[in-house]
Amino acid sequence: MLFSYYRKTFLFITLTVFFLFGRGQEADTLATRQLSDVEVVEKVRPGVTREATPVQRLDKERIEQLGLQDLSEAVRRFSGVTLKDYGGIGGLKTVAIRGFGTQHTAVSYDGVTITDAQSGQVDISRFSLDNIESVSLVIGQGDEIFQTARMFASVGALQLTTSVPRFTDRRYWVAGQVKSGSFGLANSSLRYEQKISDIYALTVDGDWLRADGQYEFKVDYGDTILQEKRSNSDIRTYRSEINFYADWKQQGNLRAKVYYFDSHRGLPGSVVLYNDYHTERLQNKNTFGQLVYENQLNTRFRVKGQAKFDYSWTRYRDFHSRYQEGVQTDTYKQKETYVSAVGLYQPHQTVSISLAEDFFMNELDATTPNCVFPSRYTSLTAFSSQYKDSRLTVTAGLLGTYIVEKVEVGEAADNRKKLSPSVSLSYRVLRNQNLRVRFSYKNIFRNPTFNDLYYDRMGNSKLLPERATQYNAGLTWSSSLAGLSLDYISLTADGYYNRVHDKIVALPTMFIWKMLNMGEVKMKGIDLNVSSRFRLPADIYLQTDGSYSWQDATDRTSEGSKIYGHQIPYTPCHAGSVSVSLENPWVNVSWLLTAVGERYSLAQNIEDNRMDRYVEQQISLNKSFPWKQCTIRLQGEVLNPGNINYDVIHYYPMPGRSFRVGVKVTY
Amino acid sequence: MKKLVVFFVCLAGFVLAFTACNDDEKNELFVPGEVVTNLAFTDTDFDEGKIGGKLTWEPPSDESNITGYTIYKSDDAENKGTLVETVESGTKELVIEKGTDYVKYFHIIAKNALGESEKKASLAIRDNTSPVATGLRFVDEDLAYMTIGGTLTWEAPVTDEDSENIVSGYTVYLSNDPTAKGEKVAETAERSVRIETGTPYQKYLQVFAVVDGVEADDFAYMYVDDLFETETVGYFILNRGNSNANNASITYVSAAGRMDLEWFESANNGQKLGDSAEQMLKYGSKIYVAVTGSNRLLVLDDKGKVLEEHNPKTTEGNKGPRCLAAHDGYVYISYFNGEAVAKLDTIDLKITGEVSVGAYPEQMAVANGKLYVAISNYGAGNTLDVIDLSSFTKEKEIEVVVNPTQIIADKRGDLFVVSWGNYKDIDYTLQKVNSSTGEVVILGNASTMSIYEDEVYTIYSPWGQPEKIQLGKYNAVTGEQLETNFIKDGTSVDSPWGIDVDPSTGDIYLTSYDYLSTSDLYVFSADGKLKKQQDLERYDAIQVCFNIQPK
Repeated sequence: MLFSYYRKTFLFITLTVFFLFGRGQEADTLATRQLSDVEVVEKVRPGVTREATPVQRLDKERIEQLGLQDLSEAVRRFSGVTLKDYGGIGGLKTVAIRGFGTQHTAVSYDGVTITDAQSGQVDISRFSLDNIESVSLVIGQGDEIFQTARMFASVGALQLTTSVPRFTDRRYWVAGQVKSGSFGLANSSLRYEQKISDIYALTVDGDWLRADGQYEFKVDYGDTILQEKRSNSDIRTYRSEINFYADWKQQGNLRAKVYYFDSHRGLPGSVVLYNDYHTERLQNKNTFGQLVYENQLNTRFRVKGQAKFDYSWTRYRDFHSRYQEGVQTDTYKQKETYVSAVGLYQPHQTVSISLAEDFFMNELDATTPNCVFPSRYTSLTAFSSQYKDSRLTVTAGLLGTYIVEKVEVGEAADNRKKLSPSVSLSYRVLRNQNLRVRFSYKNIFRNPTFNDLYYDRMGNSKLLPERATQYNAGLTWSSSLAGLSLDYISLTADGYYNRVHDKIVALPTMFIWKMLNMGEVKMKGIDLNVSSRFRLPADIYLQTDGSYSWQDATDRTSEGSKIYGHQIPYTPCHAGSVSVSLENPWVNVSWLLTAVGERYSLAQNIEDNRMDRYVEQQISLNKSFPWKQCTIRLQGEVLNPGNINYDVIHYYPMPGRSFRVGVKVTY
Repeated sequence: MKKLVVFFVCLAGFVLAFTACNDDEKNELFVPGEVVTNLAFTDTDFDEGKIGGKLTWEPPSDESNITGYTIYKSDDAENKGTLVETVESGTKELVIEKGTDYVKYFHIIAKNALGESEKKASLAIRDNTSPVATGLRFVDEDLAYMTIGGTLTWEAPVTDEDSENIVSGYTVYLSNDPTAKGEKVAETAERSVRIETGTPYQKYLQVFAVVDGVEADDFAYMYVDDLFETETVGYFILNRGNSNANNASITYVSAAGRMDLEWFESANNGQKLGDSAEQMLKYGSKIYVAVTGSNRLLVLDDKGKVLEEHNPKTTEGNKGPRCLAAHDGYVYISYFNGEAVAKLDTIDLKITGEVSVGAYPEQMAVANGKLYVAISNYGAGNTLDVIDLSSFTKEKEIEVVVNPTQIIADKRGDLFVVSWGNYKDIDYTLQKVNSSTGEVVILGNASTMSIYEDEVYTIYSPWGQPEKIQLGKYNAVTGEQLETNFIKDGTSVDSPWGIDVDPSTGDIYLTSYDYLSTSDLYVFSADGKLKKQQDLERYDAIQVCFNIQPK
């Protein structure tokens, strides 16, 4: 059955390709698309202030300046997100946007969404930033309409873009990096870029990391405070990626990728008072192949076709004499097959219309009791139109979703047919100042995950999708003020109002837990971002970024209940971050600060559940210099220099003071 | 053209790389996994060192994978020993020939074409040298402290055809030592006798058969529970807390109604109780608490101060103390992860030993000198393990509805069991088990229960069906359901969670909990009228434990 499905997919792809190639022979003229107004500054900053919904971006240069190692450290710099961090290098880390659940956040890698149909959330701790060109967070529906339909299907998206090779005079380029740090951290990575011809290029990335993760932390027993050490917290990961590029100029361009990820880690679990027996182990293997073909057919048409195969294998083990043979093993296998075709039609330089069709199939195979072996077939169709001139951008989009589900045992979830609209507007108020107002609306949902629907006794196949409505209104301003030595300054201020309906929660009756659509949440908040770059004499630059979020996300499920109007768990009212970098010819220094206000670990906002606020810092130093024909870059960080003892998630302690040093050689 | 080739080469590569096949596991036949239950044997060969009689058992409800049973005898609980007989499936008894040499154990193993099961059911054998009365029952009607009175009844001794009707009467003694004859209290030709009100309490009643005018050597005995009027000076609320949130706690409410949320912390310099407290027990002047998540077994004085702590574990894991029962100066603790029941001496507070039981034992109850342990096996279990407390060894198993979790004994020595079923077609079930015969009768549906005098109070709360919630009351003697809602004044309780009844007054303490917010307590009088309602300010109030004293 599986093989015949692949045959059908293969046929589908072939047809798509023929369609694309068929058109491709026509136009010969240079691809022309109206360039958006570029704010001319000395240092090009991505034009995030122009977007009609909040977009935040960190590019490679900034990531290196700030000494950020993994994706979670980058996410902490953004406003409007809560990072759910379970501690340590290998600990689970997921991203929640503006009070929505973490399953509402899409994560895309080079334009294609990463999924886990089983849990619905992506563990971002698996992504290293070594080969990443930029990290963007888009809340709502962004202005880029030439995208796969899947990119229209979530509350927000964390978009990762990998570095593309840029060859100068040599036909190849190599970079090797070695890092070491506290708690037994050792990390080495290698990147090789090869120019095969004027048309073809190849890059190979490899990354290997290990750490013991046995950091100390404090536990309050009420009568004493004890210093304990995290155990069973080790991690070993291996990542490799091969990218193949083909640029046929008028005939379009192709990018093919093969990715492999392998990790072994211990799960230290939450801290349980008086009980330090933790022996759970987790192994993940994930491999995927991704193909993107894009072609600007003529002045009016542009097409893009994508295909992806993804296979992931997870093995969970727990050791205890109570299990048969002393070990409990659960193995999960997931497969995804994905194809997408997008067409963009631009009848006029200010008007664009796009139509995207995605089709994907997800399968789960697990050894857990009562696994129903679900398969899900999803078709997404996104239609958007945009008007964009130098002052006004208006975008309207409609996403059509059709999902069919099958299971081998029991009842499958209902088929879903939904239409989800989104509208956004950005208007430059003054002609000579880059001051814009923006407004956006998006109505979307998330389908229950396989776990929500079918997991053992807890799953509930009658679950409805969780619906999300977002409204955002804001102001953005950017400028350069030579008089203040300001190369660049930008400010964004957004206010939002969101609602969640039919929130999927796990609730027990008599110790039996089951998933239910029982939740209404109302969120309102303000996100502020400021970014500035000062040019000082003697080739010194000072870059300061700051973000602040105020979130009021409260339960609105049943009036009269004890939690009505209470702030939902792990959502601080106030949170902010500051990053300051001083670039100079000697040693570049960066200082980062993350401040998170009080929050509650459980739904009821009582004193017992309140978690203290914390402030965490990081200092990073780096220096690059040439040596023979190479460039050498030395980097060092001190994380949490104040040795603050804090938890993001209650009883999952975060490391205290730690160090990292790294050497990178580029040729 | 070249680009087309390149494209398809890439595509072909991906397609081939990912066409993986699923391995199908073949279904294999296995030896049986089931065991027989409710083994019984009474020795009717009164010669010393010889046994004879009928060995009976209950076959498992599903005999589809069983072709027969092999019966073995040995002097060892572990080794099956020598083969006695092989019988077909469906057989429930085997006659042991008179004159068979005494053995300590009989073992019964289920078998099929592939061989014998790895599990066996065992029964410890008593060598009777004279007819011994069975099924002793006594309920203390004298409600003064440390005196007893009431009617002792028993069943005729089991005899074979040769020894029928040799018993002419009985003599009854009272003793503090189960093995030594005590003071004579009565003699009778009937099978019941009246113990005078005001008789000073001693632990054991002993019944001797009189054969040919001579008192036999062998006797039957039963442990006497002194029942007395009590007054409740306060009550404890055990809050289990949320899983992995380390917020278990004990609240003490005084008779005046003053609620002390930090009762445990203030007695122990602020020390936290831990994670997931499952059960507490007040026995004598001490309080015993099983905090399963934190793997703590605590002994507290009556002010809450920790006198002793045990953290039972091996290198392969924590044993997880879960539920408690008390008898004759010892407290018994079931180990959820340890497949065992431990015995704790209430004088020196040390753990004196363990007996192996089935997997994931839950609640326990003592009746007639035996400890009955609900073996849930994480939802797959369907037995009560019976532990003989004088020898502290496992005696037999009784089959009940799948997934037994709760068990309480009434004053007559019968047991009530709540099984949680299989969450599909088998629902939460309330059963009554006759501890003498092992007979199991289904009474109705219940998710949790409590007992007061001759009434069993229940909560039945199936997931997602609030219209089916029952707050039930059953007659403990007849098993008849008396109420589906014992609340008589129209009060409605959302998410009823736990139920406990004040043994001094009969007031019903009902807790409610919906997981998202703190628990609430509702106190009803015995006739179903609301007396008090209170927010308990803690999560998962799983038990109300009454601080009682003799009146």
